[in-house]
Amino acid sequence: MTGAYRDGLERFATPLVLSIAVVVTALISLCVGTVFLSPADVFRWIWILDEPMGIAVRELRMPRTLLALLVGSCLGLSGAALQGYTRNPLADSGLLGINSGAALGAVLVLYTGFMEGSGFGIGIPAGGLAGAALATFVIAWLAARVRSIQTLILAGVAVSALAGALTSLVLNFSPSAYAAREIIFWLLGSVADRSWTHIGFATPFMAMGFVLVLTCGRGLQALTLGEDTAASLGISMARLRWSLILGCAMMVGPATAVAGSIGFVGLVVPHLLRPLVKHDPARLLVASALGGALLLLWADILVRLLPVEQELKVGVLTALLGAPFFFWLIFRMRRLYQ
Amino acid sequence: MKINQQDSHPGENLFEVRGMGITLGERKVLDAIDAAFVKGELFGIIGSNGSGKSTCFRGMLGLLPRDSGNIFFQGNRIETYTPQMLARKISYLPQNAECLWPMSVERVVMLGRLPYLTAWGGPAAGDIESVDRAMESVDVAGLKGRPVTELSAGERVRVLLARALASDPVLLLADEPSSGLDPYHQLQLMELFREHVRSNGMTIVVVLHDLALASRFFDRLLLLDNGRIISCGSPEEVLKPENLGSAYGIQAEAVEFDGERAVVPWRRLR
Repeated sequence: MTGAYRDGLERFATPLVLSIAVVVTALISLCVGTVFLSPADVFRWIWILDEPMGIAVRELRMPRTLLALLVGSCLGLSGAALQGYTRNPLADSGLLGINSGAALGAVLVLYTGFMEGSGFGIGIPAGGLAGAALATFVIAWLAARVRSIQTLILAGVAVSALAGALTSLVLNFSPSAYAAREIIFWLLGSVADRSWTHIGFATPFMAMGFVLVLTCGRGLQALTLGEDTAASLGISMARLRWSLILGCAMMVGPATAVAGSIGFVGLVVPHLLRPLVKHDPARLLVASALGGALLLLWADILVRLLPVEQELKVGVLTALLGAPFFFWLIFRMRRLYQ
Repeated sequence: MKINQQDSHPGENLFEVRGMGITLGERKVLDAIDAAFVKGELFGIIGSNGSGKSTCFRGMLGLLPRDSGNIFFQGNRIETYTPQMLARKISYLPQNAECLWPMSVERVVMLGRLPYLTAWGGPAAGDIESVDRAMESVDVAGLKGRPVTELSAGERVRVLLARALASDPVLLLADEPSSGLDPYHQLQLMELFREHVRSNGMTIVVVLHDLALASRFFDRLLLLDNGRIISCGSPEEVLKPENLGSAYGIQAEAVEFDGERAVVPWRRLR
């Protein structure tokens, strides 16, 4: 039977396989580091409070792994949701400019923080969150006035450009080469050396955004046939728009505030998974959240395994892998959509 | 909206528009539109480009805000229905309808069942039955596993029509469904419409440009010009030379064949 909607259990197969892969990869991620541990060792060290290895597992590897998982799933989910909403296969989590706003906020704190000589603490994510909130406010203000999806895309580009320009301005005025280097390194995007405080800070927002976006499945399905048809199918376009803007902002803002700008995950993952969920934009949501987590976990494992003197930032790796994929996507789309 | 405070309005009409006016930007696109569709008729809306046909549909569906007028569905003000209730009764096939993702045909048709589905559950047996019936009725059952983006224009229109029929509506509004189809598929589409109207008692309202099809297949026509109704009634009544002259600036000739009458545009008048 070709019955796409008669999938039955097959419907749960893709999320299940992806979930198992995420759990296994997360375990592997806990084992990888300057010292390689077996999974059994990891579980043993977690409970040993005073030993340096125990502290390293609990305070370094666990937050790092968990953060890769959380950030990856937020990027994947928001990418899938925004591609569905804008009906644009090239959309990604950065489309609304929320990440650029977060980056600007974080960089401002980094910049002023150096002036005060304070360290890498909660200030950066707090600044990032403020920047994300500001960018969200601008986007929401525009979205409330102009209701077309195309305008929302353009508004996102404008917000990104402005935040990017202001970030460059901050870099320009950075007091020392060292400070500029720190800012650039932070912008590259990484989940290394983050603490439980960072996770506690970002998770509540991410969880709310996650739930909000997951409620958009039916609306995104209807949007496959265009805005007017979706509205005629009883979908409230206003509710869908607000759920998506706020939901994605609550995921991408904190993710960027904590981990910096990690590109291409939100773009690539939905495209890779779409054939597996029969191109259904609703089923794509959960799958992309899991796929994003999986991709970022693996990328973060890879940067730790690469034999280079200075550890590669995971955002650099995702961009390095993502850009060629982007080329391939363009060529493939030329065939599909012409 | 102060004209009519009562919510119900007794009458024979399935769908009725009274005094609808719509302004887009600065321009008054529709003014004082009165129209009524009865159960089981094939109703055509014609008019030149920019005369307000599509706007009329979008206004009827509540996709555009009205400056004035009331809309009644099954005797009740349209505002008394929830969007979901209306979605189950009224289907809309927009102009240049398309499907973005290469989903399979039956998955696209299943989208027509969205007004019946719960937020998380899958389709029930009744939903699948309706989808199968809709695909059968427009002869696309054989395509059900095919990606919709790979279909020909004629096939795609029929699939999207099946999507619109899958909700088992009592009223279907189709905006220029036959544009872009070759004559064979245009005739096929008109026959499908006629069949659905005759056999299921469905009401189908179609926006179209082709006067020959309009004069031959439709029970009643409404002729729009510059946002106003010029004429409404039987094809013969509406497609009179003076109406065509003022609305389109053309002269048309009537031809008769097999006892059916069709109007063919012949020459420009201005």
